[in-house]
Amino acid sequence: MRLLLSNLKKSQKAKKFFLYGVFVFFTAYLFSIPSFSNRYPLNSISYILVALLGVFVFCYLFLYGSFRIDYRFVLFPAFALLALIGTVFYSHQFRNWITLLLLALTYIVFLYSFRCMNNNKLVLALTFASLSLFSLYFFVIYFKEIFDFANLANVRLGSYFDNVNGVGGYFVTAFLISCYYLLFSKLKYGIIFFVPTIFFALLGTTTGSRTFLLTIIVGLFSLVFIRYRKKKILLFSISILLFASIALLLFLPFLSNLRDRLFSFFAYIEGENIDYSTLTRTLWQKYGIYLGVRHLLFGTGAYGFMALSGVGTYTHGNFAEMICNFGVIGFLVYYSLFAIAFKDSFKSKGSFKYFAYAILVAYLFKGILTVYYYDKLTVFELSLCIHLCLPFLESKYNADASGVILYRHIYV
Amino acid sequence: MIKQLLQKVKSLNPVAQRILAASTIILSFALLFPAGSFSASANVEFAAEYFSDLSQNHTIDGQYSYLLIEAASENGPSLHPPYNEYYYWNNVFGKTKDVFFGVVNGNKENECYFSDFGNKETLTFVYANVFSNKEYGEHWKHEFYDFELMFEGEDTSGIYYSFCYLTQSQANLIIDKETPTIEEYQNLIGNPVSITMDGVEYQWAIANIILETTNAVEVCNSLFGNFVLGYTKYPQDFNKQHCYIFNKYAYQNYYKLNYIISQFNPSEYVFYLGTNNYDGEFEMGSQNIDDMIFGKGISSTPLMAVLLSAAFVFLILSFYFCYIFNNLEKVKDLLITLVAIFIPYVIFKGLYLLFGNILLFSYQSLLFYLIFFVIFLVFFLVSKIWNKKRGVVKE
Repeated sequence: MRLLLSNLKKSQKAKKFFLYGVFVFFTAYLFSIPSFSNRYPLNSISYILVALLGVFVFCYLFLYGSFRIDYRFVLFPAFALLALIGTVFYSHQFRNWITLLLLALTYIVFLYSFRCMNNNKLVLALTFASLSLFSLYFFVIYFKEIFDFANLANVRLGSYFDNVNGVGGYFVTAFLISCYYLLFSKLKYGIIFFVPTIFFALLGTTTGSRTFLLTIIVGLFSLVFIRYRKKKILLFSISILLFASIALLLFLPFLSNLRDRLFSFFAYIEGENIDYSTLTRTLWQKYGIYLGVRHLLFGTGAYGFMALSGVGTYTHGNFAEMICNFGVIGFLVYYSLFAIAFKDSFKSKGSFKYFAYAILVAYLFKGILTVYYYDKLTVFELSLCIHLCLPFLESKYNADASGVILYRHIYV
Repeated sequence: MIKQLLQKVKSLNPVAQRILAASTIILSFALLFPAGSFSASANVEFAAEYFSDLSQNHTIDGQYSYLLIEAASENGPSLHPPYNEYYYWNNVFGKTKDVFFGVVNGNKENECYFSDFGNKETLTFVYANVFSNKEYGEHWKHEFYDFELMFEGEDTSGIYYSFCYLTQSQANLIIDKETPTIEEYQNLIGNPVSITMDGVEYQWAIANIILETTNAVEVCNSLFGNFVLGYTKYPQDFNKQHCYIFNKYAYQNYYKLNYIISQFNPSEYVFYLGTNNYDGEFEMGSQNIDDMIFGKGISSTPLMAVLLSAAFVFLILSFYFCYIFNNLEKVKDLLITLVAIFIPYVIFKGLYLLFGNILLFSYQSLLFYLIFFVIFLVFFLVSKIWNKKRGVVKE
């Protein structure tokens, strides 16, 4: 056994095999999250892929790296463990708590897989590739509906894969990566990313999700602000142009559904009329905060709001849901992930942290519109942001990081 | 004079300094509890607890109490259609959906009974304005209320005043048999039944029979006793009302009340406590239900503002004392500060558990408490930076 291990450690072929395995299963798993994870029985594909990713990551680090951890690794698992307190005393939703525990495990697998790949460009490129593949899949499935312009305004696409608002969330990530490439790419023909950016935006709007629209606007403006923050006139001009384009786009006939939903939301905020969807969501969030404050320290446990409120669903707001289910302590531990990414980013070099900013700002904004803490893609994005904002090179962890050289040709 | 006072404070011995800093913290956080209890939200919470207590301890079934809402005048805004309301609650409270009924004579204020049979017990109408029942196994289901029906049902009013659905027990009384056959029930459909409403006799056509199988029938029986499901036409004095049903869970009642507040302006609608299912011992007293729900009872914004300002002044004072006494650097002092912050929480929680009055430990107070705690945390971080600049060494 020792001989085998020693041979494997020395073998470059074995090293490549495990590393390529990490690449393949990382990409495949990311593709499977939006494509299969909410479609029984295909959801088992996701489980198999994440298990295989875990095995390859473990083998690679065991043979060629290290499992050193720091507080960044501990926070999400600590959050999951703390959730057990409220779950035991109030919600008793142990099955859902197990989901949290598995998400914590996935978070660790993601962080270690980034360590294996040890190349931010590659990580982002693979993420972009997998979400682009999903977008194509979506496009193929809804080909007829997308080109049926007469009826497109009346339907919300995406339920084949997941809740339509959830599908909108996948397009937000794809859109923001594409925007990041468009704005920060050093490639000569970086402008080419305009095409996927528009493609993701259009596919996202077909879901009719207001959260999608508002989140991409926030994410886009964050990226534009960061990119042109030193050129104030240009920043102002681009912002005006973007606002005008978004406003014009909303008046296209096939976006009338989304426009109406958005306007009714604003009308409600101004107190003009009653949009039941917005009213209910607002009341649910207030209700969630109420239940949370009444269980101040540890909350009502995993899925506590769903179990206790009588409502039978979630609060439709991440802040309210966190306070309700995990109390102030769970809330602080979870959002410390955001704080750590921001704190690390001040010392980190390169432009990847700007993408992380856009994602984090978008998620903070999204927190008032939807619940995302138990979403697999959110866990991935949080771990990605933590990784992209690291104030030191991941190679610090690795005994031998020479594998990185193989992938230096990927310059985006 | 203030300078002299500050000099005196600065020259206090360490124990007195700690006591002074801790007292201002305790006072600041303690004042938040009375401040919160004067908020409108505390009023709603109090009302929610009131309904919870009412449902459990003062009703015949010990399960439900109810609130009736009707338009204040004929020219005012009308109520939402019961259809919309029912579907709102069905979507929101999916698992416990018997939250809402559209009713007429919900508090039995109008004299109204079957003219020809029964014990003249006053009737309540559960009213419905649309008509599209769904097939449900061998029976039918009412299009939105959770009533199981014998037949599909149709508008049988014809020459009669309006039409109604009778419960199976009422149908049995008319047929005068304990277990009639389906044909005998079927023969009732389209026939008139006389209902005396405030002394005037009206002929209602029987359109369907409600099977007494679902929870909704149990809830209606428990709340209203004798009831029928009636179509939308009623004599002038019989007002349509929204009936919201409350249960023992105060937090669920809190949600329902918040919804009611968001939907109904107290100047345009009249609110009544449902009284039909009270047990004999309960008396309503002088409670005004509008005031209780809409925050005119105990809530007082000026008083809340005064208390909150006082709490804030004490918080600033505590910051000042902590800063000049370097009270956030040593672990021991930090612990004393933390304990001081939590003492009011423990005291008021204890008082709440002892007396059971929600106003002692209201949601709004806890929210204020949380905000002040965050402010204190921010101050702590800022003071760390300041102390670093001042060269204060941590022990």
